[in-house]
Amino acid sequence: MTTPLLATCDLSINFGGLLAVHNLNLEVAMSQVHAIIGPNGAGKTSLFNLLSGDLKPTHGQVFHRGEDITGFPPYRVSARGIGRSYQITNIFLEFTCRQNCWLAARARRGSAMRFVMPAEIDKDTAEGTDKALAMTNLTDLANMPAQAMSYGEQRQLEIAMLLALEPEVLLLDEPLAGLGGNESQAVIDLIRRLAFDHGIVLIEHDMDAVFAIADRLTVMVNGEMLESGTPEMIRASENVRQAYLGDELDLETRA
Amino acid sequence: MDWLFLLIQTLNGVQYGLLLFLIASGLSIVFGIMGVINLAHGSFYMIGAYLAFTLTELTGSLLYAILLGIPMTMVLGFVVERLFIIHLYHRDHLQQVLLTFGLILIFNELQQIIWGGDPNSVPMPTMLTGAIPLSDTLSYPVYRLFLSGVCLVLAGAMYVVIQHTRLGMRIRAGASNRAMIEALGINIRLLYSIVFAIGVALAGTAGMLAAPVETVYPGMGEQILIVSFVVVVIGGIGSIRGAFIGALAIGLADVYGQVFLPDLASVAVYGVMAGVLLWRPTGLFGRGA
Amino acid sequence: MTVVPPKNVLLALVIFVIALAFVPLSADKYWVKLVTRMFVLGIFAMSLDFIVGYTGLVSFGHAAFFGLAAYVLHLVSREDEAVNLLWALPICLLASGLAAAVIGALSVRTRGIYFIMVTLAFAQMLFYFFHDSDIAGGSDGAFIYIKPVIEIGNVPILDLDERGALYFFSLVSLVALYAFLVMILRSPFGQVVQGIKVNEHRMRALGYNTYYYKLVSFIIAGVLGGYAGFLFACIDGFVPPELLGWRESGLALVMVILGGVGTLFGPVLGAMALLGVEELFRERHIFGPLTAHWQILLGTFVIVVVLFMSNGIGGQLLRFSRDQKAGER
Repeated sequence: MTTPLLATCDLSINFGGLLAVHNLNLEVAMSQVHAIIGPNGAGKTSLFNLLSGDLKPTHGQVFHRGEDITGFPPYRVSARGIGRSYQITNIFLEFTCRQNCWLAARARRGSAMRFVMPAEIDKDTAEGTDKALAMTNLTDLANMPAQAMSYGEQRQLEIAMLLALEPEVLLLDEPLAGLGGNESQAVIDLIRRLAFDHGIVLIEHDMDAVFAIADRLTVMVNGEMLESGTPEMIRASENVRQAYLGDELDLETRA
Repeated sequence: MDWLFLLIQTLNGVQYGLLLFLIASGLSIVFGIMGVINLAHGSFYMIGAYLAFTLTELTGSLLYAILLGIPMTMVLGFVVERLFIIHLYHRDHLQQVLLTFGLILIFNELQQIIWGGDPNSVPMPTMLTGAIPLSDTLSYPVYRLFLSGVCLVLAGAMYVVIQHTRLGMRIRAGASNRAMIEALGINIRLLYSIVFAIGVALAGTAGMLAAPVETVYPGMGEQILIVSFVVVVIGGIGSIRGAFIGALAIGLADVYGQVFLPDLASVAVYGVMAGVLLWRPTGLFGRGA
Repeated sequence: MTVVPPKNVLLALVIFVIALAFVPLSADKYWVKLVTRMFVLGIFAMSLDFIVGYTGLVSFGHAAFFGLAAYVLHLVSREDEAVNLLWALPICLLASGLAAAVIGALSVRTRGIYFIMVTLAFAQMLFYFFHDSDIAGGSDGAFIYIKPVIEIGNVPILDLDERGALYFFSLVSLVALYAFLVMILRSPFGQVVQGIKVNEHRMRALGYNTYYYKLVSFIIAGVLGGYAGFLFACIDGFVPPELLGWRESGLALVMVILGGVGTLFGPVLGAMALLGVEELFRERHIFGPLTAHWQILLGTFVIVVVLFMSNGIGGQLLRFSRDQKAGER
């Protein structure tokens, strides 16, 4: 039994009486896509905040490759190779597409306390930046200021930054939100490719996409895990149907 | 250690702290609800003190002066808000700080023109000039007890208004979600003007109350402003409870500092601030900035 | 944020600098001193823009490092002979740097409004220290009787007391320090620091420990502020405690916003403009009886600048240059 890439043990956070996440146990392995689904307010983003270090749990632990990283601040979590994309686009609007990725790529390459040589000189970082841009088809937009990009392009940039970070664990918070058909498919294909050599945790509402790419699903309701299992198990579960999927699956079969 | 002496110093520290609380809570309310940092807040303290000086000369008693002065400071606050502060709601901190800095320069010069540069003293009201004897040689001034009492009453009134009235409810709602109360149809413009006027009145009233026991001089506004900044940093912005605890802490630190470390007295206050910062960068009760 | 201005603006600035080199040849002592003061305050304002405009740290206590260096120069100066700038300046810079390190280490832990208040408070602490103690003349201020000289071995290279010497030394310093800051802003450190200004949360999520980057930025600005303070003390030879005060810190911020936040060259122009405006407000021919109360004019000017000119002279120049470029296409 290999150590999971990322795991939590009874992870909980209590916001002054509101248990946003309660006794959550999660495991992600390398080359696995683990999707977290559930109604709005179920605590999915709070869970991500706990995993990324943006929030400190009131109870429970987070493990990375078996090592306890509970309570690590975001910069330490990120430095360990756990990268996160955001539901609400969280990029550097004032900078160009390339500069956005550069900051992510540079973070990967040691201390940036270098004061003399211009930033462009570093070939290694430039290559990392170009690679991330290429993987998300943003190479042509490299010199465009991020605030001038369309919503869909900005969501691509959000992912590009994550890729430039070269993490081994990807936490993707609703990467498909607000994307049109083609853009959506491009992201789904990208996630499929990435799944080969990364561990991915995915929050999504697009059930077609989730069932198409997830290896494992965890359903969260009111901060707790309702059920966790393979897509088939979840699809067949009566609990899940009642709590969340019922309407969605009926619509599917009718269509 | 002379216990009586220590008692007197403690009473002084509490009195200074309560005064600081009035000023700091005015600053904190304005920032917490309106999102505006008003550097000229100390100027209103100064204006209160000078108003007390002039109105006492006119009416013969500080008590009448205060009764007249409070509505005057509220009107001043209302006018300043409508003319200047209104432009700051959607501007960044730098612009807010600089515009109110400009106001300080103007207020200071107006003060020079009207009252001149010499320090002034304001006589206490005759019925409060006595002192309560504590021993053969030591007694405690009645006026200082009166001052502390008034501050406590005002603090209590603030608590009641904020926790138990509709205005207070709107103020608390505004502090947590500005857009929402606009959507609920509450007249934000009027609310902000009232809140700012209250803030100014708190500072001005503190100035009027303090006038008999502090020297009334041109730089007094900035000096108290910076100390009230320390109080707000320690207590946390937007928190009245924090302002109360912070103010008492600073009041006592300042007075004890002068007693036990006379050479480092002025540094004692900053030392407390530094200590709190090391432990809690958003203040003891702050919600962040 | 503009690190290197576009070519046409850069050209205009170079021409401006060259023109300034000719001032001491024709103008009398009063104007030479005034323009020297403009250069020195330009360095001061530029160093403040480094943290305000490029790191996002609005400091209301920058005068602390400015005034501290001036006081340290007084403390190391002798009444009977000139000190050697080659060791006096580094000592003053070290003092400012250490103060910035200590104050910064505590202040940078805070954000937003807290940072403004905390920097103001610490600067005021230094003000009270020099004002209330008699280490350096207390509230009366301190004097520097003989300006420093630059000597290598025993060979005199430059005597700052000589006519025009301080002027040129300040101008060369201004240009050199500008180039220095541009270099830093183009480096990886500079890119990170600008990223912090735009979105600190994301920078931390990317793995940067933003605390240290902000602190180093604060120290760099403090050292450069000290450089300006050293020169300022040389101009009049008088160091009052007000150099550390909130008024000086506030006026520095006015220079930054007047010149253009985040343009680097702008605040230098802002410093010049502010000094020019102050001179103007004291001009009886224009303002008559108001000159006795020119602070009201200054306060009004500050308010007008904030309300109507918030992108500053530099900001306007850059916009003008962009429009020119767009028109040409």
